[in-house]
Amino acid sequence: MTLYVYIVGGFCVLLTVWLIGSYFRRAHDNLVEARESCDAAWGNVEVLLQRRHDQVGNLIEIADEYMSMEQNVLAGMVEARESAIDASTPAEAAMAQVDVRESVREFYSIAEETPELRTDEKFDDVRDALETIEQRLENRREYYNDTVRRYNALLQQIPERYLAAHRGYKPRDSFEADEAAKGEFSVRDRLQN
Amino acid sequence: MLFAILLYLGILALSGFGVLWGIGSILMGFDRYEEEHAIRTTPLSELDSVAAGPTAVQGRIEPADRHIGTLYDCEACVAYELKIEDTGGDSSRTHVNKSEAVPFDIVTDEGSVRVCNAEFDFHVSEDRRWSEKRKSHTSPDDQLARFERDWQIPDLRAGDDRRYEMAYIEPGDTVYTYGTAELDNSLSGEQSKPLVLTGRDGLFFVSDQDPDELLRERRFVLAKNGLLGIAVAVISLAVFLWLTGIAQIFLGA
Repeated sequence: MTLYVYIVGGFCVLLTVWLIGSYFRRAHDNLVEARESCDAAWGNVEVLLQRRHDQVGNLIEIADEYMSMEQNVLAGMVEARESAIDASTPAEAAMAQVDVRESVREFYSIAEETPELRTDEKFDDVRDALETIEQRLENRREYYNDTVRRYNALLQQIPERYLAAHRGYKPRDSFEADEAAKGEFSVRDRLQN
Repeated sequence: MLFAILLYLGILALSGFGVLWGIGSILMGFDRYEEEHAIRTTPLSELDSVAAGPTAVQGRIEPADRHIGTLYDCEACVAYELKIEDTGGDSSRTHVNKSEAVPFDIVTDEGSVRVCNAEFDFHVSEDRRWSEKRKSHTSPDDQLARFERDWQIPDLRAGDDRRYEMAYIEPGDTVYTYGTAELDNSLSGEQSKPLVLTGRDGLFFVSDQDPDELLRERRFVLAKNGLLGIAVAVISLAVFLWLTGIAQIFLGA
């Protein structure tokens, strides 16, 4: 074998190693980036969840003022809000979201029967704010779930699967309560227990 | 004899160029791979849920202020890439190699995001491409002649070929855009959450194609470009070393 063959062969090996090495490095970087995208998308959801906690807190204050006869509804909202604040994972937050939404809905239905409350400007403001937050939350929830679905799909691919295993990356939870949990929920039943 | 020398020099230049082309092909493969990853892992954004960072938006183009004007096939471009080049014998002359964009908005049902600079890549479909080749013995039609006058292109030399290539986008086009969303306070009077797309994080492209179509085009592109690039670069290096005599004199071939 002449030096000529070594040089040409070496160049071929060099390019191949560079190609494969760069591919793995970029696959790794892209995996980290995809994971950070999930974090960022979840951060955007959390901002709105926090705003909703605040508005539900305002709603509880109003409820406390007008609805002394409906203490069970008030207790339901307080409990739902606390569980939402305590939720630390998307799955827990999704479950808590069902509780909050249902308890607020319960409150609205009772509020319809309370004339003083219906004419309260502060109540209107809080209700409008909550509706806006719910709409935006829905968009962000979809975006987060889509980001997670794509990230989890990435974890099934090669070589990302091995890189993720090496770094201890696990599939992410999406932000949605399972259908069974949604179906079983009833504020009234819970409050009567 | 002269022909043989020219042929020798031509092959030598070609082999040297081949090494660079091969490496360029690999780099191009990586660019497409990054784009594929970005399209695959970034969901389309609802504009009211976009925060700063990498963002994919699909929407209709509307010029923010003005459009560029008529440019051959395109009556009201907001962005274009144009190249006009003459080739003949073993030389080539580039008369125009230019890209330009005016600020435009990508409008969706939820809002709009502005694109202010021309630093993005084009990946447009055949509908938004124009290419033509003209030989020196043919006369340009009226539209082409007017276009050449507007751009002050000199007459084509006898025996040369002229190639025109243009890619463009125009108002009303539905485009898929990937870039980095940033808040732009200079637009704060126009909308509640003014967003501008930039290429700050590296990847920035606009396409009138569907994301699925873009993904299809990029499937296995790194493997294809990589293998082709390595093959061309290695063979070109071998030919270059042999033809220059380096292989025989210094490398023991």
